[in-house]
Amino acid sequence: MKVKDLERTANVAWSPKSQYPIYLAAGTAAQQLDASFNTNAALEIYSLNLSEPGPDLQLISSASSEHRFHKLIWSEQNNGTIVGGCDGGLIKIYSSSKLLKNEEALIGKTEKHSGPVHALDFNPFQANLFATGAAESEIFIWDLNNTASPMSPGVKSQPLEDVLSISWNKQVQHILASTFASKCVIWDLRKNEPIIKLTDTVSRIRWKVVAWHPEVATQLCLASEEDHSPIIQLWDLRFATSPLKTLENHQRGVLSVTWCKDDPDLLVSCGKDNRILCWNPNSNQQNGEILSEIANTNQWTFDISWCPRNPALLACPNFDGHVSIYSLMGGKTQQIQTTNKIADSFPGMEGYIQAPVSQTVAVVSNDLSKPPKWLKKPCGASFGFGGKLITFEHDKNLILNAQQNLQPGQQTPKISRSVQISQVITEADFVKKSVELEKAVEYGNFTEYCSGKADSISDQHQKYVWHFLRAQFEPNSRAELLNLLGYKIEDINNTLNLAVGKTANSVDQLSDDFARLDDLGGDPFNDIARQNKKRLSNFTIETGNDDDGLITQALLLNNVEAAVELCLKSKRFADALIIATTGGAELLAKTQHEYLAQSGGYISELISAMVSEDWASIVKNCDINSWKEALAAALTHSNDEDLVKLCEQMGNRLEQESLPNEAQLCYICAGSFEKLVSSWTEGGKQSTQELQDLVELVTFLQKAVERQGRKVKVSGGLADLLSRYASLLASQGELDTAVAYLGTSTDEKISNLRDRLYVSLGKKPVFAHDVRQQQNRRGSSLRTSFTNNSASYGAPVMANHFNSPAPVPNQFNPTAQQQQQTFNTGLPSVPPSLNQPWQPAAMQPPIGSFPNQSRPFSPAPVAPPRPPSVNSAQGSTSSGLPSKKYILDPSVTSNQYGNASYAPLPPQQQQQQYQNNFNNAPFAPQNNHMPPTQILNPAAPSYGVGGDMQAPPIDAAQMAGAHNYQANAPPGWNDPPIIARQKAQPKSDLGSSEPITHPIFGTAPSQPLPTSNNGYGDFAPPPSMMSPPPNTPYNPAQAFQPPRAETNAYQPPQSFNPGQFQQNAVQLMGRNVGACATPEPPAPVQKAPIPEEHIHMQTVFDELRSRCSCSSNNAQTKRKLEDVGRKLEVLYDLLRENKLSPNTLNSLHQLVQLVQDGNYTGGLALHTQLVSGPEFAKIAAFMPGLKVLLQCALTLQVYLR
Amino acid sequence: MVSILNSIDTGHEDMIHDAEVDYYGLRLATCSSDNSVKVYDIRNGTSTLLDDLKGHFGPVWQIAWSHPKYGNLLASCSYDRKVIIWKEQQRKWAKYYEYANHDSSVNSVQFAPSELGLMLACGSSDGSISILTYQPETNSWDAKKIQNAHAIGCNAVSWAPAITSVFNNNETDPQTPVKRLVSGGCDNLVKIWREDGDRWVEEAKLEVHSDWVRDVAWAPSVGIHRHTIASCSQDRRVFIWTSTDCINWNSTVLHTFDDVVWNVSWSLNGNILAVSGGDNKITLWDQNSEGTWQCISDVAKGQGQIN
Repeated sequence: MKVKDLERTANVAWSPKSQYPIYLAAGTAAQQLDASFNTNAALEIYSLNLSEPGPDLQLISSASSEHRFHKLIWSEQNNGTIVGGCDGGLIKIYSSSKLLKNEEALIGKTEKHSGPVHALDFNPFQANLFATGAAESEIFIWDLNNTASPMSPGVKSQPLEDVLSISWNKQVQHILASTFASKCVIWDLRKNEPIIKLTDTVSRIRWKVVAWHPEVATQLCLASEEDHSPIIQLWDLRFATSPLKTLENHQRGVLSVTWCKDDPDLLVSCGKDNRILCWNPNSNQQNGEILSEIANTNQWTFDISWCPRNPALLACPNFDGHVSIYSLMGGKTQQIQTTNKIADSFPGMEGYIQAPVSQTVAVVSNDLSKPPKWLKKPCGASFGFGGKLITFEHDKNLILNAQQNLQPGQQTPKISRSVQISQVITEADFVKKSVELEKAVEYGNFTEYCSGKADSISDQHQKYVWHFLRAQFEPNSRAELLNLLGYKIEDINNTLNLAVGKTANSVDQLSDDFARLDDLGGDPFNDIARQNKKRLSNFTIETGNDDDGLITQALLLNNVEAAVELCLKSKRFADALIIATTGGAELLAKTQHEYLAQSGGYISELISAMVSEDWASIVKNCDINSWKEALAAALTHSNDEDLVKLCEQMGNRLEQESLPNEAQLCYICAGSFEKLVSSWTEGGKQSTQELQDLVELVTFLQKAVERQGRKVKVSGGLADLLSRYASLLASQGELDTAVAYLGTSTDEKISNLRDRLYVSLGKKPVFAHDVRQQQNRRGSSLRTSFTNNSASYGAPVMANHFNSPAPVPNQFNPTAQQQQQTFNTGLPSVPPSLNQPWQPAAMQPPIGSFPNQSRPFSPAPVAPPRPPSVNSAQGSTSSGLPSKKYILDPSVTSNQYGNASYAPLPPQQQQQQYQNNFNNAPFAPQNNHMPPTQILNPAAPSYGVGGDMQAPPIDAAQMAGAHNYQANAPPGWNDPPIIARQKAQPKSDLGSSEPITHPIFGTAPSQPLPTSNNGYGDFAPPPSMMSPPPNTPYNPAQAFQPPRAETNAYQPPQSFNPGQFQQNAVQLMGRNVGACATPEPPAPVQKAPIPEEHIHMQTVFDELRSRCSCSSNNAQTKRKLEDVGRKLEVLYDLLRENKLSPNTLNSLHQLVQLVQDGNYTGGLALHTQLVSGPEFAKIAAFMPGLKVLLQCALTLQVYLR
Repeated sequence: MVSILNSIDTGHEDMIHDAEVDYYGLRLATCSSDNSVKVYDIRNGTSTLLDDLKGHFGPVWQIAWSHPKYGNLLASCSYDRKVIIWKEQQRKWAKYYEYANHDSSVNSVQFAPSELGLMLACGSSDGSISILTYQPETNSWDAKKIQNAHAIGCNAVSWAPAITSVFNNNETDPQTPVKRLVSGGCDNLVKIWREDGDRWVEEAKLEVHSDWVRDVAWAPSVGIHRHTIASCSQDRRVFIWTSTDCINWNSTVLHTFDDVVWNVSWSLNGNILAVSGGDNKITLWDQNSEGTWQCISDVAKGQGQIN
């Protein structure tokens, strides 16, 4: 593919490999004139400018020159040196770095040679050395450091001829090859003499160019410019009598050849036949293997140079006045507009000639038929779940050895190419700690662990944290917490007693005091009042109008309220309160309030809180530094429920005041994980150590809370934390431990991860979902997804189920709810035994037990076994494998609708319901809801056995299900069509030529329909074979053994195969028949396979058609091709039915052969012949299609490779 | 510790170019210059060949597993210019979809994060990137093409993790994660692309490599709203790019290696980077607490010590 274009007739040289960005030096070519007869010459440097889409190169700098160039070379010596060979033996030396800076760049010139200097090459090992060749067999070796006296490689070869090209060996630095028209001379500079002369006496050859093998030191290629023998020969100097092989394809003389340094399998040549070819010179193919025809130009390309830095790029100067840069990597040829330029030169023509509409040149893909070496990634590594590292490498030595030891004629020995799977453990410490933690939790010695932890930590805050945690495990946790807050009850009471003047210094005495207090009985205030009364003897009662008098009057008349009021007014609060005690609770409260409102200070706040039991206000309003006191108060006074709130409130405040440590303590007191986690994780990314610490903390807190009998809800931040922790564990390969931390939470993140872990551990089968179903299921609303999808799959089936307790299968699946969140689908579709034969270990009994399960259904007389059929195009296969027998379609339905409709039920409740139902033995066949029972049956034993399964969020609807369900379901789902379908049960299938046992219908799940319908009295009893005899192997215990205790509780319905189901559903839909209830399914619209001997035909035609379609941008052509597709389908059908005569078939195969050869004209001729033949009538339906196809291919120039 | 658990003789007749395990780590897919894709069961240290997928007519460069919620799909891309999506049914894999609209070798395939739907990005030597989207309504695949994404070839594509964040620039529906990918190519550039309506726009062009970019890998996000990309190149260097807005990127050189770096791959948690070089050296890197990248292990033939 041409990527860039430079409008110059120039000799070019790429910048050396070390130079970045890549430049191209272009020196005006000698012996060429452009249309203006301009004789100016220049050396220019262009930037490749690859990031720009257009074809133009960007001119970086230019130096004019009096001389034109025959050849340019560029070395990295001295920051870049460009050497040009000119006429008259002139060699010009430029500094490229100066040239790039637009300084005077010509740093030397010499005229030691005679005649034009055509041959130039830098030594690949010593960048300061270059060799030149000119007329009269003259060869010089120059040192850039001293260009005054060049060296000669030896005595001039005779007869004297022009040196046409010169090239240093790529492996041995003192070997130089030079070509003359009649011979190639190889020089050894150490010996200063030619060591070998290659001549081909057999063919008439004029050597032009020599190119060394980039890796094998003794091999080189010679190209002949002789039109009568336009060949390239590969020589090996060890066997120099004749060439190793000859590459013949150019029609006229070869002008240049270049060997790719980065891939010895690539050699590019250009010739006077205007073609540029890429060869694999190492191939053993006769006459050489062409990998690609890179270009076919209008004029000769006279040189090729391979970009040293980007091996995909070739610069090819052409006599048409352009230097084209091609990419070997293929791609669409960019249209390079030359027309405009012509128009520019002839102003005034615009009106006459419309610029040709940029015609879409048929894309001739000219990428190499074999990939270049540099595309072949030799090694790689990728990570897999569970900290697995998958690595592979390409051991060159191994392969080299193998090749070297290869005896001729022997097969290449088999080289083992292996992939390593390794376990990466980066956090060994972390793993160790988490194991310790797990143990501690297991042993349950929490208190010790916590205090041990607290002792071992030096950080003060952490110590506190662990002590607080420990306190949570103490039997009297509140006292412990108070203690930690600095309120040791005993000590404080002692202090108090001292202050009060009592001598009591023990709790006993204190309690004695309280006991005594009790003995006194009654209200302490009454007591006080009593005492007061005693003291007031012999007094006069004043009833004046002063405060006292008024109070007295009020008391005398028992106007308690007024008395209180007056007392308050005169600030006699004690009196007011005492009086109020006689006036009832309301008055007392009011008085207290009044008093507290009037008196200030924190104590009154406390009293107020105590009286009103409103500790929240303390927590809310206290100074933030008194958080301990507030917390202590909360711990002392509030009940469990309030405590949590209060502690959280305090924590929030502390957090707001940027006291996160204190806040965390509050959260520990409250047992609120979420707050704790979020306060902890606030700093952004944490180290694994911090994560470990936090999880440790949370795990213990969780245990403490559980111990206190509270529910632990894992969600939000905590779920985040745990899933992060578990995934970190998983990344260290500790899958089992990781599972343990995830618990039974239904948080989406967690259940996703848990699911992945379970499957990965082999405790759960792989989920395989049909793409379409999955995607369809993404539809948000139940109703819409139902209607939308009905066309694509399963609608009739589902419709039936809606009227029945079909969603039951859901119930098997303890994780259905979670899964629905995860994948939006309920059930694993593939049972390990059926679809995963590689997991024999995981499946023990089920294989044996499946047949049992299916026995009652399989003998269905109306359902003969289905012959294997061809997969449909989408791959929604339904082959006749026996496994299909176990396919349970209702599971799908229930996944989609069942889950959704039951979702509102909280799992907890569902579970209970389930258990109730379960315990109530709903399996009795007499049960009204027999069908669910049957479905449930297989699973039932599993539940029994799999006791360690976490409580499954079982669907509640189950038994009561039918009713619930109908109530919930949108009305449309109970629509009569079901009945209609039921009645319309087409028996026609029986007579169908392709009798098919539809697995779906042969299995248990289909059962519920009729029976359940029965239950509702809507339908006539279904065929007897469909209604399972209650006492037959349905009994779960016999029919179905739980595959594996711990996980398999939900496995039975997994055998659902989405593809199968889908297909069936489609068929059902097509017939508008809800045949679900019958065992005889409709015949699928599948086509028989094309006979093997003709498949080739299909491949070729389809391929050609798709390629044509790809390369055409014309809508009309595309339509035509679509039509061709239909016609081809007719052909394939005829092939399938074997309706074509051997004669026709023969011709068609010939046609295929012609197409493959790219001989479309021949193909069309054959077509005409066929059409005019005797069998026209039979083939008329598709032959026009073939014709159009061939014509398209011809016009578009599309060829099958 | 990098300790070998299992060494699987793939039986490929030519170079292996990619090896990937599925979502659960139960199956391994490999692809090779022998034109085939092989699928192995690798659970419990076993290695049983499950299927040998033949359908390509050229070396198969890369493979990608879909998320299991879309079924068992495997995508492969090849020098034959095709992308094939294979689907497992009844233990056997069959061609599910073939995409043949590239004009040259397809070098890279990657399934999008599952949250974005069933999507596949393909990078080709023809310079373009195709984004295939499965349309459940019509059960068909819709293809969008970024033309001229990388002159003379795109070598690698990698999807950004689906994060719904304040940075996602999606005003219309902030809950829908933005679809982004990074690509690297023979123009030595790393480019960030974002879906904008029904087309893909170039969001950033990262110009630092001096030779072909061989591989790019967008790190999985672990709850942090910071994007990290690794890129490796023929110029023997690996760069780590970070950004918060996907427009301004900061780069640091991870290391300059002794040979061409072919492949970079993040661990699932996005904390370890595996780098594979032409000298068959595989090294593991992580970031220490100061944020500097350090080599934690040399893996030779699947084994190594963590420093």
